[in-house]
Amino acid sequence: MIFLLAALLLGQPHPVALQRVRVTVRAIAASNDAAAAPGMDPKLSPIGSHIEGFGQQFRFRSYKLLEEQSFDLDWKAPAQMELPGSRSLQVTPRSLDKDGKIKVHLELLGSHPAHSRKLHTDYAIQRGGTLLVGGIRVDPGDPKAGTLLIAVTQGMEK
Amino acid sequence: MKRCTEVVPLLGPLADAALPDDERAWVTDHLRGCAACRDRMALTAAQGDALREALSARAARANFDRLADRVLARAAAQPQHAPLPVWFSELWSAHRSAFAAAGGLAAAAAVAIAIFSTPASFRDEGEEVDFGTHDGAVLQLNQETTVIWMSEDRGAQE
Repeated sequence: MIFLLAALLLGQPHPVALQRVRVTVRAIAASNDAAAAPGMDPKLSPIGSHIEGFGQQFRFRSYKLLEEQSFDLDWKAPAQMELPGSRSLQVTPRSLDKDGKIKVHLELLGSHPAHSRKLHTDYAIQRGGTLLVGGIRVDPGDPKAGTLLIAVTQGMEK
Repeated sequence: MKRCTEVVPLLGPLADAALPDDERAWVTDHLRGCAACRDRMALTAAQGDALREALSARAARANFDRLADRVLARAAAQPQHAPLPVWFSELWSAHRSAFAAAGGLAAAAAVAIAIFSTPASFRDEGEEVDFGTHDGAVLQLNQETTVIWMSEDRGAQE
């Protein structure tokens, strides 16, 4: 009986999991186009360190903020953000890990009306951390528009 | 004439008068014509005599008076260990493999209970990315920044 009670108590959600979680999604155009202004858009300064780390590996000439939206979400409540190129991103905070990371479910959906799913994952982001999803063109019809980079940031930003 | 290598192993039995008649005949015949084997025969006989004398002398010195009492006294002087109950040791001997299997199953069950009773929110469920019809890779830049990079659609259906 004691073991049963202990098992039931262990199975309860973590108290912190009752809080809402703040997620900010930014759509960024990363480009090597000579006509684009070089460097990082000042509006990206809250996630500047993440972009700089990314830039050391991917070496784009410029980073420009296209869209930004923040969500205060209940656990397992999805939020959807429209992205350039008739795409959308659905973000759902799923669970809180023991080390403070949140696991988010991400779905990147393709052009309407096809709504083809381009990517989906459950990935953990630590507090203040950023998950960068990128690789596809900002505008499928215009290579000069650059590469779409989606930054999903949890909670407080640095 | 037989070779010495065939004769040498039979020298001991010859000295002990343990050879059958037919073998004794050709071994004796060989010895008559082989000085080296005669020397070997003499050495074997001398070793046998010496061994018999040593054993006889030792047996003559042995004291068997009150042997049983001395054995019991020596046994009593040994440190005592609490013996396992006879029924348990017999049971263990007869069913050792069954006991081992039951122990293994119990351990496995305990591990399974521990895993399944852990709250889902604290469980590392793995972080996998389904890239759909794209190719892609995940790059962990540092603790706070993760990049999920996907290629353009393999089917070029942008």
